[in-house]
Amino acid sequence: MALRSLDVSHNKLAALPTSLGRATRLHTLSAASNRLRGVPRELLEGATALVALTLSDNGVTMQQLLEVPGFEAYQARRKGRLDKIVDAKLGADFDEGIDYERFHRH
Amino acid sequence: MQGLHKLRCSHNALSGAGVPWTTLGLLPALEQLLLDHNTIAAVGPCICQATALRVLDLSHNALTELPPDLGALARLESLDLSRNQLSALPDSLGAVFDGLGGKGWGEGLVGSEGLEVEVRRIRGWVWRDFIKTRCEECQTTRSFATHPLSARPPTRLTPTLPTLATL
Repeated sequence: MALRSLDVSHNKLAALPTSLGRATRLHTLSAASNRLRGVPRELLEGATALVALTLSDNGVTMQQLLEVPGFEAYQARRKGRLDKIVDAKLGADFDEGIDYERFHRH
Repeated sequence: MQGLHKLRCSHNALSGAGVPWTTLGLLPALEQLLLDHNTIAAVGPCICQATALRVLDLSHNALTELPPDLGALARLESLDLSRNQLSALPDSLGAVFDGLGGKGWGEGLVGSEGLEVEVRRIRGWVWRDFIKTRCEECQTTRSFATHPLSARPPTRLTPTLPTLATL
């Protein structure tokens, strides 16, 4: 699929399909306010264009995310993008993606 | 209607039954379909045949499930399903027809002559997702010449399905 943007926020999703890991053009995934307990490793490892992942208001903890293989790579991609953009969204909050350092400041 | 690019029916009181999914699935140029802010509880599977779709907005409805073959919309770039009642997403999302080197299915072949060749090539395979997308409930027999098959079969294949003969 050519999927670049997917918004599934405010539903009752218990999980995201692993097939999203093959959406190699997926840039933005909004999944806030669901019933997620994690994200599939296939998504973080396979969706290599993903730079904006919103998971607020779910049951996912930062610790859980850190343990998902591929999360570090996702973070690196996202930080790389932010470094290039350099705008007011630097150090964006949890809703703007997942910023590890800011999360840990709280 | 064949040339319709964009259809916006946002902010109405459309129920799923009020949307002509069969017709929409047959519009070869339909790229944007905006049905947000309605009362749609179910999407007709025929929509998966509208393979020109790039933007599909079904946000703010009452969806509880989606057609399993939504992934057949190989050109879909933006999908908004927010503010519904979905408890799961189709396993096809992002995956079904992605083995085409960036091309959507349908870009591999154009014209009936190429189609015949392709059908011979895939005969014997079971293209489960494709067949299901054939809209059994609509009972439509479409010309696949205008929506030709992809150059390669998708990766998700199952070994048996007798109705493939209808191709």
